[in-house]
Amino acid sequence: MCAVRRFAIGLAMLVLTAACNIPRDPEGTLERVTGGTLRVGITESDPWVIIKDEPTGVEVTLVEGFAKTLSADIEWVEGTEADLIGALERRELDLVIGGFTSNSPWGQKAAITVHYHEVVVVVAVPEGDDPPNDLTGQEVTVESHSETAGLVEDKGAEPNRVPEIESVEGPTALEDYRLENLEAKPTGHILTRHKHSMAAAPGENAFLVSLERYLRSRRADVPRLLQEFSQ
Amino acid sequence: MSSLWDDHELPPDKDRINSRAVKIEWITIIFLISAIVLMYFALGSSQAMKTAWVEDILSLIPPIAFLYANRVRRRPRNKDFPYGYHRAVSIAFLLAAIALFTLGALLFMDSLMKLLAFEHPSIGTVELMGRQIWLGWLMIAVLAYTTVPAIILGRMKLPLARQLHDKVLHADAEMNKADWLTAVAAMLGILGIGLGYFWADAVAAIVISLDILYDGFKNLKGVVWDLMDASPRTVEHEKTDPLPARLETELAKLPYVSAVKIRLREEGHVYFGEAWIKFRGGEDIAKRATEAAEHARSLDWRMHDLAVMPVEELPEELPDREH
Repeated sequence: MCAVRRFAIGLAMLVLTAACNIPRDPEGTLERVTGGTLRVGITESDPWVIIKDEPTGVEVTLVEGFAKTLSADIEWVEGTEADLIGALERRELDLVIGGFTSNSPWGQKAAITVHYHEVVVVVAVPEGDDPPNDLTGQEVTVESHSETAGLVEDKGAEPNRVPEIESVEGPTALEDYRLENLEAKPTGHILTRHKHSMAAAPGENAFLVSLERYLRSRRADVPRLLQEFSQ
Repeated sequence: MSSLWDDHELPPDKDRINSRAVKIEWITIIFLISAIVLMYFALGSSQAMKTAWVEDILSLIPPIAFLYANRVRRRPRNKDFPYGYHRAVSIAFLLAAIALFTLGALLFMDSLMKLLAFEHPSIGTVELMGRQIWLGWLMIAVLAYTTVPAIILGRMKLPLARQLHDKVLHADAEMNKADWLTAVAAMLGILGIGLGYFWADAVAAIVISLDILYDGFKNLKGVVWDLMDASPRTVEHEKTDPLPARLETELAKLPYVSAVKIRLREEGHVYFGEAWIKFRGGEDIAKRATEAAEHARSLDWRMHDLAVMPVEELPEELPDREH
């Protein structure tokens, strides 16, 4: 019994002394990146990641801010989602961005962070119009080749597919951050929610913790960034 | 005329112990449900944590089986069930044993695969009362919460299981032990991850799974033996129950008995069986056979149903018991 107690006390002390630098990274990512180079995989996903000459976008801005807190340079690596995640899984990259949501199928291969922003896809109407109470049988404008057509059908409405939504004339399926620019208002009909996250190298928990802390601290700025990049 | 059978299974003092067991099993169920809900919110991607959760769900099987069997076993004999419903307890034991074994197998396979895949578990942060903390600490707290009642409940069940000769209860106590062991392993695993050893989680789970597999196998073997009408064994499955041998000795002491052989099998809590008796002299065989059966039943509450057959020679095919 005495030995058990001594072991328990020893373990407790070990935990307490170690508690301040738990969790640690098995492969030392945070240590390497701090004052070094952050290797970030990017894949086009407007407005989160926009690739022209230099990458821009909401997530690119966030990552730049995060790198700054670690005094790290950024090495941008462009590729397809599957390639980038493959490299991330083997820790050849530290971070991959490209409009991932918490529903992204990469949970097994990468550490999906907490969400830094939630996008709500709503049915919107022009600011002056009365919102319809019931969507059944209503015609709702949706962007073609997107999931919204199906979501609208689930509500019993008729999707009217257009190549791109440039203005709101009748009921329209729209991400909440685009309402202001298109002078539209939500109707209370919510089609889906997307919790936007990033994908970090799996198991590098110290790195993950510091990234998540940073992302939480920037949550309030995301709506402004979205306005800026969805113009 | 006194009846050859009791209509009740447990004598009054055992019935009181049984009521306590029922109460403890209800508490177990309530505790398990609270642990399942709590853990669901602290899951994250730790392997040991996930298995500890599945394990808590599987742990619901033995107490539910116990409580259900406890209702069924009391039903009186009838046309369809001339032996009564006592074996409901053995069926509950079967369920409990399978649950325990499945648990060990599940934990073992899962952790081994994770280890072989070299998977690096990611544990991020969680916001709790305005503070951002590492999810690992929350997981450890939840796991610690689940261990304490599991240890206490398991310990309370063991002596009751022995007194009631209740193997379901015993298997359930072992399930509780498996529960808290897995939780401790998971805590160590998460701590290991925190210290940067990504394999700690899986290794801890494998070690614990071997212990659970062993318990599960022991119980499965025990229940198969019981259902095969093997000689009664103690609730720990290790020893042959000394009761049949004792009954044989006691019956042989009766002045009108010259030789006796007994064969018993377990029907849940109680024993059924046959006694072949060579009587001295030829008078009043019917009366003496009834007396012998009643005497046997008065020696131990578990001796529930004994059919006595007067014979000229004891059956040789039945091996002699070592006294």
